[in-house]
Amino acid sequence: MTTDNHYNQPPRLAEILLNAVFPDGPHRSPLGDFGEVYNDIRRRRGPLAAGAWYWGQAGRSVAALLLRKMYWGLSLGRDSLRLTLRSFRRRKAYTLINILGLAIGMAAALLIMLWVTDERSFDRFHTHADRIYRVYLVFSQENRVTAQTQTPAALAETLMAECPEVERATRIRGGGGDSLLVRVGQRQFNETRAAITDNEFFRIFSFPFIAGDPATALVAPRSVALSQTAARKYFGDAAPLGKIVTMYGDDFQVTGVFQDMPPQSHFHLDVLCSFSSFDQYREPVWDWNNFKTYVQLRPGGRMAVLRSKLDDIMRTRLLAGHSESEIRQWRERGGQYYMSLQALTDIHLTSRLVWEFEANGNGAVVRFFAIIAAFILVIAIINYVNLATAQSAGRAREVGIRKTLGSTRSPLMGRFMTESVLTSLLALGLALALAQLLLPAYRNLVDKPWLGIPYLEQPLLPVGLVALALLIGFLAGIYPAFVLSSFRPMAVLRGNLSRGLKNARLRHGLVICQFALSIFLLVGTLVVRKQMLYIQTRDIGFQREQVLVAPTMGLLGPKMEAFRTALLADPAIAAVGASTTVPGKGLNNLGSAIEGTTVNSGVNIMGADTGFLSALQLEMAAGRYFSRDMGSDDRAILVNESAVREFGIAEPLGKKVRVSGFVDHQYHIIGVIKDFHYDSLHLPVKPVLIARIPGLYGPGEEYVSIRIRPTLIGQTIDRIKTTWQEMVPGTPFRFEFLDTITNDLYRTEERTGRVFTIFSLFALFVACLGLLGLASFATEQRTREMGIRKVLGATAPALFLKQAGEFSRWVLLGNVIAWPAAWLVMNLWLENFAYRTEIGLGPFALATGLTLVITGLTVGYHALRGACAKPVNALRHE
Amino acid sequence: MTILTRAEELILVAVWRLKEEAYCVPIRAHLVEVTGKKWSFGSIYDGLDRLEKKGYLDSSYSEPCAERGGRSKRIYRLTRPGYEAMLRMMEMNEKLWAGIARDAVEKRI
Repeated sequence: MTTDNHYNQPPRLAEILLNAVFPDGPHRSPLGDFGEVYNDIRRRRGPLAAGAWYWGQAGRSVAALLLRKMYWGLSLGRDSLRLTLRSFRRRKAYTLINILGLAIGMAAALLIMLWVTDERSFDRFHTHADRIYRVYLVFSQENRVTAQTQTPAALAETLMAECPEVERATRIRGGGGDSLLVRVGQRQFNETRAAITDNEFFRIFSFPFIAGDPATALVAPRSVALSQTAARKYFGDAAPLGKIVTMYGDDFQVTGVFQDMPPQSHFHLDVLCSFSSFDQYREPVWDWNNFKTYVQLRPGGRMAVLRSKLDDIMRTRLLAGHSESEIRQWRERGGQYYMSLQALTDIHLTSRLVWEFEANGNGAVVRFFAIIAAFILVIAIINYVNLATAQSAGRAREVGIRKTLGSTRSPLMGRFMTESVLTSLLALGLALALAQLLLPAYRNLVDKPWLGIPYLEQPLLPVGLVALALLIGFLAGIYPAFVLSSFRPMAVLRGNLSRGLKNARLRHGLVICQFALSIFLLVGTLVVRKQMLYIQTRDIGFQREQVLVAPTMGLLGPKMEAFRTALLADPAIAAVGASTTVPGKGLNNLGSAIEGTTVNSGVNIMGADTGFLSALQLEMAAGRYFSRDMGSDDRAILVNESAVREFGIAEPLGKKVRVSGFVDHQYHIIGVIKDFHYDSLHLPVKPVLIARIPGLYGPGEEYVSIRIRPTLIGQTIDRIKTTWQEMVPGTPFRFEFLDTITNDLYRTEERTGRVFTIFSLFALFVACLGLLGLASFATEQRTREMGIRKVLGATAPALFLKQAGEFSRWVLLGNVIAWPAAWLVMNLWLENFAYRTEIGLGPFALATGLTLVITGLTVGYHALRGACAKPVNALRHE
Repeated sequence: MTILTRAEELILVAVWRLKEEAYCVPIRAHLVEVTGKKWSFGSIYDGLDRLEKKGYLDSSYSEPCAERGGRSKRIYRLTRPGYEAMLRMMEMNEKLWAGIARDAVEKRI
């Protein structure tokens, strides 16, 4: 080693690191060793090589140091852990309540947020999601405004050709639950998730293809794209491309297979036929609103331009037959007819239009639940911190003894912190286990079987959860760590420690808040239940029980009479009726003119045959129903009471009705049918015309409704199947029960109700835990007070009542706060329904009663213990 | 008496040989030369520490040296038990290798 050279300073940062590993007193000899070698290498091989070597040494040393620290940390932690576990074991009930409360709060919040994020993620998976919009149509009709998704078929192509801001536009027909008969070889399938769409569909929406080319799949006439599920159903494991599928009376060739549409899409389609297959759309069709139109704007495309283009199209295309003055007059009378746009990503949460693909979600409910989740979590955290703080006051003696035995402050602080952080981490672990355990049930509850905790998909989630647990542990540990550890042992051990109730008001405020929230949720639950019950039991104008509804897709046609006769021979079958629709499946809307009224616009219309009235047990208000014997009934038509009332048809019987779109325009009214709810109770009953089938109405029956007698239903259904097979060989018999169909109209509400119930129980439970903790704390705090009172002659029942009464007061206060809020919010919710129940006093009384009982049970034990304790035990320490 | 590990033995011999210069850097250089292997500072410190703990070595700090950036050298010396240990190691090695001829081993390669 040469020693006569100038010393070159090695990299400073690396030196600092090395110094941390080899702290060697004032001589710092190891650093000298490293420095010497650094200089040696530097002289021989240059500063770069020397720097690299020095950094390498520093890195290795630090790694070694960390390992060593971890080893010691673990062995120290084991010690701490043992002490913590001991203290847990000593106070089992407290630890259990505390950990369980926090865990349940966390699990509930996590589960709610899973649902909320899922609801908010709808349709965002499309690459161009932020640029896709749906056009909708608004029109008014006799002072009632209707907004619907259906637009004319020609709209999409016109927008694409004429509006420069539109990059692409597509149209979709079907998919709303209508049935389509699909024939593959010898087998037949009923497809409810089938639609007609054009080639732009797969270029706008991002549904990945498994086979075929999304850019051209739907160009050619008679081409069809299938979902993976449909392809497997039709062809098994065989390659589907190029295979033939028969539908709409034509052979379609499979040109593409796409991955099943993800659950977070507002529509789910399995069979997509090319638009070009249908000759009726060869010329632009403007007078029939039967397609949903989606547009994709160019990047930076201006909505205003598109809107004005839509207005332009409205004027020149949709209102082409009307003069300016005619339109102006109509508008002055409040008439509306225009097209507007909604963002794709808003559809699921905000869109409530007529003819949606599927029942959408409810943005307000989602926001509401997000708030609830935050609330439950915050309350659980506050409870936890509160309870931990309250409980630690009882450990002042432990601090005193430890200090007397020579403990200094910092290990005490460390102990309390360790304990508190460990508890909250334990709670987090339990929360995750709980969430995982409840997940299957929860998936069912909210009808989202795909929900899962996205540990891997959202790496921030586990990090955030652990950070949250650490924060909670830290917060809960502050009071014992800083305040308790500062106690002077003498004061503590003598027992005259002033355990102030300084933040009593805050604590009571929290209890009041918790109960206000729980009561709010309880009232909400009860109101939702009441409304659902109302829906179930309201007279909806027909009997929904024991009616089988089978979609026929017009297959029966002339065989309908034979089918009916065959079925009615069975004593278990009461009535058989055919119709173009059944309640819950929507109505057609056709231009109609009714004699003696000013009505000259679209009116709801459906077709029904002679058996429909008795199959659904509809009732007549005046006149008569279609009769089999009267040939003249071909031109007969029925109206409902709403039509008579709203159109002001005086003396309806015998009045003439003109309906456009039929071969024979002229009908006469033969009867008035009592209003029945052909749609959900969200909507008021509108005027309906009922024409006769088979008559001159449309293509024929779409549904057969079969009323069966309530005996041996399974066998009856088997017999119906056999009869069906005789009539329409090779076609599967599919059916639903009418009450299932009508109940499906309230799926969203049903789900909301269930979620509401579960979460109100969660909130109530967490609130109870808070109350329980507070009660035990208060009882302990007042042990001496109770002792003195008893010595002075107070009886146990009086003391019990005094304590229980105090807690009831807070709970009642919570009630008073919750009532107006619940009343307002639930009235808003009920406004979704055209027909609704009164909130009434019932839910409030029940919620209050329930909370009081639970409070009594929660507080009772502690109050009783406090009241019955022997005064000598309480005062012994004086 | 414990048997020294090979590393301890090597370090012990190096300290003997280096005399006044027996601090970490030359020890490491010497061991690298003898064994033809890389030696980390950590392994040298470790060995020196253990030998010192066993009482075979003793150490003192030199005056601060300019070529070390003003830091001292930690110079090691053998103690009496250290010399005894060396002797034992020598005897053991002699017994261990006694009667083995170099060319006899070379023939087998």
